[in-house]
Amino acid sequence: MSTTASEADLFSLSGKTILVAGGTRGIGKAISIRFARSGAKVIANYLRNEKAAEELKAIAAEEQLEISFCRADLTTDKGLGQLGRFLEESAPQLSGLVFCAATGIHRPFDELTERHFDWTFNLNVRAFFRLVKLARRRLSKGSSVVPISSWGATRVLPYYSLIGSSKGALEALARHLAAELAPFGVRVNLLTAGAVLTDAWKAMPDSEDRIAETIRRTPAGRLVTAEEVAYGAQFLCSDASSGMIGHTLILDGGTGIMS
Amino acid sequence: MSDTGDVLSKVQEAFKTAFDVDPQQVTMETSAADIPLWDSVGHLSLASSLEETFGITLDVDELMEMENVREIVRIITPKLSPKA
Repeated sequence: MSTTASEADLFSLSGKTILVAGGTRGIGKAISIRFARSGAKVIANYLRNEKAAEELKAIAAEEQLEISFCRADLTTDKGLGQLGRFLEESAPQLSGLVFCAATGIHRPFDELTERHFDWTFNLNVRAFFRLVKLARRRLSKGSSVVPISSWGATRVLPYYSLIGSSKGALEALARHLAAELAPFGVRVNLLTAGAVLTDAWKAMPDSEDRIAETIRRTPAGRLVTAEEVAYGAQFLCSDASSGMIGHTLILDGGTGIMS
Repeated sequence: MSDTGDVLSKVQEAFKTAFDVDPQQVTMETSAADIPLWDSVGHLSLASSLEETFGITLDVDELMEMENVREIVRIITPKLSPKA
């Protein structure tokens, strides 16, 4: 069976303007590149790492990808104001919003403090809430919102109680938004990535042992790549997924089906 | 303790704990661009390490202002000064 041009177009992001929060490193970087290669005009938001942003700028320049950059702290009024002004000037209408920004601290419960809780939820949940508020009137009919979650939202992972619970809250919020925004033509779907080898892994305790254990339990026999996760995000932001609302797309190499 | 050199020395210790970097590589000019592990997750490890090293607390706003070592020293130093 051959694929017609119109069927292929359903997966294209051509003509879409998509904001990728946390879009210059790890999974977010892969998503920014994938979306731009698929024809989207991408706004990559980042906070801390200018060097990573410069590296992505170089890739965009080399491939002539349409990626613009907005440095803004999504947890502050100032940062959201900066992003709001950026959107006002460059993206009056958005076709998509992907929320990759995340933080957290990997410790046993007995070593966690309320400040750790506040720090983690402030970005992982509250910033998403405020970002959707900010972008709401720009999200055009047919647009897509995709928060990136993780297995920790529904499963127990070592030293992951705060990040996992914040992802659980993020998922619940996303499902409620999915129902409330669907009548306006805005689709909200979650993407749960399994273990992807990014710098974030290096911050985890016993990271090498945990990676080896994850690979051992994964039917695919390897970790998924950031690029594979980006293809999933492309699908969710494309017209090909127009029937999906409030869904959680899992890209984990099969880890989650194992007992 | 409020001398900038002393504060920097303990900040370097906190960086060593959080990122396992050579303390001598951490200067007042060091920012996230210089340390690959200093991303959003690493930032919380660093903040915890700073709290434990100095025996202080950092609120969310302060956390978000800590974009480089100079800012970290600026935020921490007043917390160490004896109250008049």
